[in-house]
Amino acid sequence: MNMKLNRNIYSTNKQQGAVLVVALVLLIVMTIIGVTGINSAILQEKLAGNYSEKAIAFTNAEAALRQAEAYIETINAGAALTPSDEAVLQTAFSAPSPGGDGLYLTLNSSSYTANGPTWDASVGTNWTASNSRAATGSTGTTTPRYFIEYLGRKTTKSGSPISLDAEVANQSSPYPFAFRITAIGYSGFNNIYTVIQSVYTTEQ
Amino acid sequence: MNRITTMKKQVGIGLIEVMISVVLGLSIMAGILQVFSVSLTNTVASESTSRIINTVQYAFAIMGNDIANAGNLGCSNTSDNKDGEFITNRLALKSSSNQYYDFSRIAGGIDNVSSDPVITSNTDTFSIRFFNTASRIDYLSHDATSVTVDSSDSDYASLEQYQVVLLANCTLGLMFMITNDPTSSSGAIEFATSVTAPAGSINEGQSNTSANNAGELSFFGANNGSSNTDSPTYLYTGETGAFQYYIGTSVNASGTCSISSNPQNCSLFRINNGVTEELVEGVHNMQIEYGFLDDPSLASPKTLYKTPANLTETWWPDVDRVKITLSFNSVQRSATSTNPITMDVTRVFHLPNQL
Repeated sequence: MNMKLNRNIYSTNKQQGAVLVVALVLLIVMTIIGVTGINSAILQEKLAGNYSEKAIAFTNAEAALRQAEAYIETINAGAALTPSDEAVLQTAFSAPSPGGDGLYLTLNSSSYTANGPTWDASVGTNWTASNSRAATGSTGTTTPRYFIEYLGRKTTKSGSPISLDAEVANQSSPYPFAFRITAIGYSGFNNIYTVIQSVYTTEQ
Repeated sequence: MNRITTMKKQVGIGLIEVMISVVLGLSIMAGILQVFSVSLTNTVASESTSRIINTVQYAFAIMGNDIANAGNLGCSNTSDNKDGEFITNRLALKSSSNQYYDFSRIAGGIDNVSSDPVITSNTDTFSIRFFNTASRIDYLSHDATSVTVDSSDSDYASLEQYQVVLLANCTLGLMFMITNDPTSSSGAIEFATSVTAPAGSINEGQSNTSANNAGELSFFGANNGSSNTDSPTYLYTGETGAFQYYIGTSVNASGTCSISSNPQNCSLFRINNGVTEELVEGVHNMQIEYGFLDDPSLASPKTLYKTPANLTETWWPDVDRVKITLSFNSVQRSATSTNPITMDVTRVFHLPNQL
């Protein structure tokens, strides 16, 4: 018995090789390489994701801007605004209704009932149904919105009609209306959004 | 007996065995080296390509953003203002080629710069200007030397001395440089003609012309509902300015930029209101062509593209698109040559304010 026991102990001590150590080292090296690869892939994916979300937000904002421009064209019961349609705008842009939501005045004229609502910068961070208009057909989670400010009419210095573009017909005495449109579009996440602005001028 | 045993125990490798193992080892090593060198080449190539692709995206995104705004003058744009009907420019035009605030054209630049201390030879420069009207401050009154605006406006704090601003309603605009420090003037904005922006400030070297502003200013009435019912007057102060793009030597480069011999030393630069900023390394050439329809009244008008040198003055008002060709390189040398990998990319941007 003693002999056998001794022999066993002896044989255990004699065990040789570094398979476990080598395997562990290799495993660690491969893990480091793998984790680094995954990290860089995740970063790339985040970059690409941001880029794509930003593009979605921008296209949504642009769609809202186009709808706002189309809306201006329909303000006059679907017909194009003509130089004599000041009264149409007075109705649409005057407080409190109709029109109301999302339609603002920048000019302080007595022709407009109660001087109309003006866009206050303090509501600019909070786009709601009571201060802006919703656009349709969005691919984002939040509906893109827009508001329109009536800037007034373009005239020459003497107040007479101006000539905008000689190549377009019916431009003999244009007296165009100018609007500033501000639109916001969201991506799939509400914290990624784009705000764009344009000045829209009617043809005559 | 002992001797014989020792002789039998002798071990070793014969010459033949050594030679075979050397041959086998060498051929295996050769194979491994070949694979390694191919993978190295591929790595360098794919890194270079991805670097170029990133540069392409970045450069065109920045330029595209500026170009989309080019020519915006608030209620008017350069298309309306072809004969200077709406906008009165009080900014002195510099006599050099960098006529930043020349609003008579939507864009401009030099064709194939020949000798310039900063700009690389045989590259084009490209300049655009616009007034971003996103932030605006209510106009209150004026006198002969200044206008007074609403200093309680949230945008007022962002005003700077030597900033270029536009005072405008929908009929007329007056662009000038602020010559006093608006932060301590409680709303008074001066437009003196005797002040030139000093070195180190924004719009360095810019001044206002000596022309009389009285005619324009008298037209701006207070926004009180009686004197100015057509459109209200604002001081537009957003990200406004003149931007010039050019190719030059990168600040990180060890040598001088040259299209043919040292493209890796080149960078794309943007001058923003007189302040030069290096946008991105690895762009070594820029060629600009302006596009327009030769006769829009024809049933099938032709789209023509002209280099700045070939574009005659009469075509400028019709220019509605710009074709930009940038040459990109990977900055680091490629695996097969001492030169970096290069790639030319052309994009056409349309100028929305020229339609």
